[in-house]
Amino acid sequence: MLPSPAGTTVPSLPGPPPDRWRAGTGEDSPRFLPLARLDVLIAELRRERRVVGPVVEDGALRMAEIERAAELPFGWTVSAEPGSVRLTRRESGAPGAERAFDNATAWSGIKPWTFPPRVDALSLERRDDGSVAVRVEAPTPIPTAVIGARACDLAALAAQDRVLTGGPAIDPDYATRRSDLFIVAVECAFATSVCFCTSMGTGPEVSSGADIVLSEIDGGFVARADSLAGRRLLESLALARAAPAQVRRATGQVAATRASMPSSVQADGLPERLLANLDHPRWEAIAERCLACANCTMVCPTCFCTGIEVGSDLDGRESKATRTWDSCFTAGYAQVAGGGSFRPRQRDRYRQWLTHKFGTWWDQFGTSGCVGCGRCIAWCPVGIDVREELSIIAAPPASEQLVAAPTVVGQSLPILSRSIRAGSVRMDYVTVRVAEVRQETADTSTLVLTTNDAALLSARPGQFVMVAMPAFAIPPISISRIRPDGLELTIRAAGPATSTLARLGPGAELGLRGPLGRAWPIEDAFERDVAIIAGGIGLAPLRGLLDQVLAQADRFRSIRVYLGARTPRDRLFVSEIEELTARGVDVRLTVDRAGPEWLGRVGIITELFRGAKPTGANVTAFVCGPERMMTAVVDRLTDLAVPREHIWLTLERRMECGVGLCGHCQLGKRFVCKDGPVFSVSELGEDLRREGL
Amino acid sequence: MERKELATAAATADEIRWVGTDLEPLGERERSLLAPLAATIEYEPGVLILHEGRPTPFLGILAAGRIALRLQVPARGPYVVVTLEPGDIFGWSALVPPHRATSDAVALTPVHALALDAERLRDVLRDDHEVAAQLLPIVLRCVSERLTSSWHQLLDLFGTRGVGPW
Repeated sequence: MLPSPAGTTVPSLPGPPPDRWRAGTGEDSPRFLPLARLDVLIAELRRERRVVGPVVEDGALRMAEIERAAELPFGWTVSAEPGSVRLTRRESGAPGAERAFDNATAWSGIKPWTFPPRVDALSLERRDDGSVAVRVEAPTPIPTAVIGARACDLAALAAQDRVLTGGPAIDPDYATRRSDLFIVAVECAFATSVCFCTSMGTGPEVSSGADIVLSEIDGGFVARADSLAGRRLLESLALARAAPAQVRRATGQVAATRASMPSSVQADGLPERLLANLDHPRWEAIAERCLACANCTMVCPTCFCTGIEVGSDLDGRESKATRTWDSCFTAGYAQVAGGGSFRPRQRDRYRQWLTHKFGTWWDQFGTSGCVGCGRCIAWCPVGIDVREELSIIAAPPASEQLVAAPTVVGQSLPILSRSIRAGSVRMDYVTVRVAEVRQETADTSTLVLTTNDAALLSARPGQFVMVAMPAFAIPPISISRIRPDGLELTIRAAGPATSTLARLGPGAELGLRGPLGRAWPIEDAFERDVAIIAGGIGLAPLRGLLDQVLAQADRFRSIRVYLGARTPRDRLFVSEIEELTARGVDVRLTVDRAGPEWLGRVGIITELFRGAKPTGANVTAFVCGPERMMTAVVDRLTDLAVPREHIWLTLERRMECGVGLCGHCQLGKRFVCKDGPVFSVSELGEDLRREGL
Repeated sequence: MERKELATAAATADEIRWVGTDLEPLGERERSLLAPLAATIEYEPGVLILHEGRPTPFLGILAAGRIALRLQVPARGPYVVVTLEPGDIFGWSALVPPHRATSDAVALTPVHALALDAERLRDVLRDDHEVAAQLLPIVLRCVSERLTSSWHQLLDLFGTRGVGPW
């Protein structure tokens, strides 16, 4: 079943987080770190780690590796507005002139250190004997300490943790980098005009996720440990307890920061309000301003979408797949085989970003995708302010006053799909050999692959595999038959990789990752009338199901097969289909166009229902083809009283990773790769035919 | 190809089947008013039943066999737009001005059909509005389905669209 939390509202908790700066005499009481000893802290951290902190670079703050406290942005302050960020040096002697962190978030945040823009993902090699090896690159762990992380940065880290390590698939690179990260956080003494962490319930108080928390006051820092490692480090510095007045100054400071931020987003009920306004005219108005530059997604500390780039040496023997940041604003992001895109318009892409960030993220990860850091507002070259857009598109009911959200860091709702153990999805590639190739049509071939890999052999009809070859992009290919000794893949040439795959000869080797995705629920058709309805290459993912249905034919009340093809020459598996007919299976076939020599049916696939109706509540239909064909089929089946929960479709989307980590294949709250690709029409609801989703 | 009918004969009551055809929704009274107009017709494979651009002589109800509706495309030959199966009506242009066939209709197999004479049918519809009220939606539905089919074929959904990422 799809992830579908019982509710998607922010849990209501009273007020700001409980005071974690309890002054006292116990071992856990806050310490005072004099400014002069900040270098000692950094030196201690550097004994085992590289240290990353904010530095002034190109007129802005960036998180960079540092060696000394002096590299920190002492005396700098920041003003940020929609479309504008300016650093200003405070005059000597002015308030804050001696402070390192009395400014704002660094634009880069922590993300580039835990989730770098480019990482090696795979190395692919074709050896002299033709064999192929695909190796998953293992990152080298580099112990890292971050100093100067803000509450919003920590909330973002927690959000990315849920996405990339929450399972069922785990990003191995992120998990490695994240596993040995030490965090010295700073509570904000200052908020810019784009900050809205109070609205999103993430700050400015640091309530979880740090090892050490600092609050910068004149002359030094009030410091507390929030983890065992943090406590050990503070103890090693042998610091004096902070005086009650110092603790009061620290807590008063962050309270003042909280008070300085006007509530600007009504987070309570926001997902529902936003998703109820997918057709709001404002989307078009934003699209006219938005440049689709992707700046917002690049500076967003939670955006996690990635693509795979494959580079190769000139003879295609050695190649590397690199995982790169991607953005849902790019034109190619939702592109699929054949070059079409599911989000062709700018408004579709903006809507995807905003509704995901503030809405469907809750369904997928049980948390908001926005932490209120305001980077997307400041770094938008045309100054689009999400707070303003949300207030227009998802306006709260007039009676509701904007109130600051309670801090809910670390709180999240249960996600039903999490029943699968985190890390249970295999990320490695298995080498398989092409035993036989059958040319089905001019542009489509079936590769018969042999393997003894138990996981691949346990594949079920409707599932797919990622197919890797040196020097080519890695396409998702549905499994067209499961054999005792391997798999069959039926591939239509629709781009460089699929064209090459469709022309492979026996003996070639490939890397396969999978099986992936949700299979056809064959059991839904037991004791019922089965209708298998396929258009074009859509027959490939249904062929394995047909095999299984026929192998246990007595479990079904009746079996009917309806097939559509472009022309008689584009029919797939012609001899197999003829054999089925000879065996008495009710197979009906139509083509879209034909010459005079064709004596069979011509017309669209739904016309096949006229002579042999899949009618009534007892029908289970399995449908695959172009989405426009499937919606027409769904309409006809609905007219014929087939229940929507018994009509199953498999959707085509851009599946770049296949396991729900790369973001590309989203359809509303769903990841088509892991929640599907097989869905019932009732599960898809309105989303099935919503334009540009 | 010549228009060559094997046989045309006034249909007996036994030969007229309404159930399972597009005309099934007609009421008893309406069926009884139309039955006298019906003739049975049979064609051999390859015979041109209707000729694009020529007057449509009858509204047909296919009883057995398969008919192709096709267009002649100079230098490309005939292009089949849709095929008809038993129960389908054809020759809807018998009811829609200017009463000329919008495509050729060719028997792909031996064809057995019922034909309702065009002029007499139009007379009945003019005289009896209840027959018109029941028959015209059936004919419009047929036209609408042909139109939708043509749109879908125009979309060429199963064709390749261009070069994709893979």
